[in-house]
Amino acid sequence: MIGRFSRRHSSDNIEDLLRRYRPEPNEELVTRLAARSRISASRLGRPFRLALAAALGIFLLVPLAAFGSAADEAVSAGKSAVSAVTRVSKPNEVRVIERSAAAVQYGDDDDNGEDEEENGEEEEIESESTPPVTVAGEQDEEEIVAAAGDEAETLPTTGLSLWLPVFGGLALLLAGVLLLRRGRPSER
Amino acid sequence: VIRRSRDPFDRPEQLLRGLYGYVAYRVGSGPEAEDLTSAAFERGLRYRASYDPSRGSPLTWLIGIARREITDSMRTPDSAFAVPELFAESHEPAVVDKVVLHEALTRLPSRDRDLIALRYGAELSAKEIAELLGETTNGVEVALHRARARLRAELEIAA
Repeated sequence: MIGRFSRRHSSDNIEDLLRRYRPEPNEELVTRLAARSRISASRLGRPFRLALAAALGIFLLVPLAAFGSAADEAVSAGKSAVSAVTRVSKPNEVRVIERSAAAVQYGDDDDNGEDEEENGEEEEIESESTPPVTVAGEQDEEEIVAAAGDEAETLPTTGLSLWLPVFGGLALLLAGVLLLRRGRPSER
Repeated sequence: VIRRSRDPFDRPEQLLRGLYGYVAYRVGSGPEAEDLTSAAFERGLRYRASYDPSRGSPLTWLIGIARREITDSMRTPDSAFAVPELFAESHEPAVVDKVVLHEALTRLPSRDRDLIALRYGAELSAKEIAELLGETTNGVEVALHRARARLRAELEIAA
């Protein structure tokens, strides 16, 4: 049998022979292992996608953090609202300044004039004679509430609307979900 | 030629043909070659992240794994066998030729068989074989020439 082999092939073409009769794998084996390789590749990409999502999330939060962060914004908005409500609901105290500079200078002219003439000395001005001076409480309460409302809806420093980053974040999330659905291999 | 990329399993079908060609020339085609190919490929998949393109092609890297698999399997080389006359008469010449070639390969020393499997089974260049074995390209070419001469002699002796 070997004799027949040598008659078919001269010993000089060993290289051709080795190439021609190179063993080929079973197609089923190739298909199975190639599929395993692709599944493994998709698993390999999962941590990368998670890392990308995390990086994008951080990227979105950084601008907010630079202006006091989203949490600070929410807290300051709440504080403003509470302050506004307190101002409206709490009755204003009337502070009476008993010894104002005006009272000293322009107190009861008649009495003091007589006294000065009689005694020739400066006397303390009676506190009862000075009119009460009130501060606060006369401000427009509606303006305060409106100002508090405006502050709650804008970012500090820039004055941009708070909804801008919120809508930006939602748009990014939506784009991510759409890309994920589009990139997912179709089931066979 | 398998393109060098970061992911060694970029083209798995081509990779598998080269890998199986090497393993089958080393241990003989059949279930055992398929098992060893699968084992090497699976191990490669597990360590695919550690593949470094600067250290060689994906096939060279995978054959390095397969060589360890073959060594670990502690398989003794095929003992030389004679092809029965009845088999020769009842099969196509191409099938007979394959069997005769395989029979001649089993009689070669382990190193010769390894070199022939790398060159003609995996279709690696002499340079790639040299990188894999840690030898010079010239040394590999000389060794390959001797291995071919011994294989030729085996076939002629048998005739």
